[in-house]
Amino acid sequence: MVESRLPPAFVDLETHLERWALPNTVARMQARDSANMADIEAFYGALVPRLPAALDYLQGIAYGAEMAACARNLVDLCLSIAEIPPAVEWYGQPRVIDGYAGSVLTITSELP
Amino acid sequence: MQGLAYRYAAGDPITAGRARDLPLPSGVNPARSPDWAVDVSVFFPNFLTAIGANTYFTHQMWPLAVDATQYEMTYYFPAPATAAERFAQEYFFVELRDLLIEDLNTLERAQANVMNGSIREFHFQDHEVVLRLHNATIRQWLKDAQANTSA
Repeated sequence: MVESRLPPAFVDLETHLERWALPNTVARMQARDSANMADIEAFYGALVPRLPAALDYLQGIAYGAEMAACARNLVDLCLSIAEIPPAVEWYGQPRVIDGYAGSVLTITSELP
Repeated sequence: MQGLAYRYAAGDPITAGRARDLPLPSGVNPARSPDWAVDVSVFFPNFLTAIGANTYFTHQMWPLAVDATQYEMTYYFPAPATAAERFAQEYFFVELRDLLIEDLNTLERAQANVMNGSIREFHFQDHEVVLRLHNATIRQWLKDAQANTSA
């Protein structure tokens, strides 16, 4: 039996793992910067309705390196969806209106 | 989504109308304003702290040339107790980072227009009295430095 890559209640989100479960903040910034709005809205539309349940689940999990791989994947999806709302809810485009590209910033350290 | 992030944050990263009830040190939000967000303190000439509930961040500006500045912003968060708190931290980081991306681009455009002569002077309004003091003090520093160099 192949082990699920997400907790059982969230296996329907597995199709988003390859593109949106990313290792760090820089990768998440780049993903939003380089995506088109159709892709961003598709991810937003798929994740946001599940987010309350996902966060309720993750509220019961201590954050750290000892998390199960499937929980880590769900966290990574949630961290990527945290990157998306300004594009959808505020700008209507991937990048900040009248702003830099995110790549102008140098991220020297980030939250684990 | 901001509402979800608020719900799972360990504290109120920006105001949620509960500031009066937060367990803050007496020196933070000393007036106990319910609409408080952050206390901003400027350490002249180039360091600024913004202290909120459960997070704080700093700005530091390093002049490199007459038309170039290195701008550093550092966020500080406590280690998240739960994986949901980590989501809330990332959400607030993204919000603040996008604000910075917008504001700094505005500053660069203003600088470009200073350099090409389109902007010749800035007007500080009465409520910008601290900026007036900052500007006057920097000008005095430069004047003193030039006097020392030419002496």
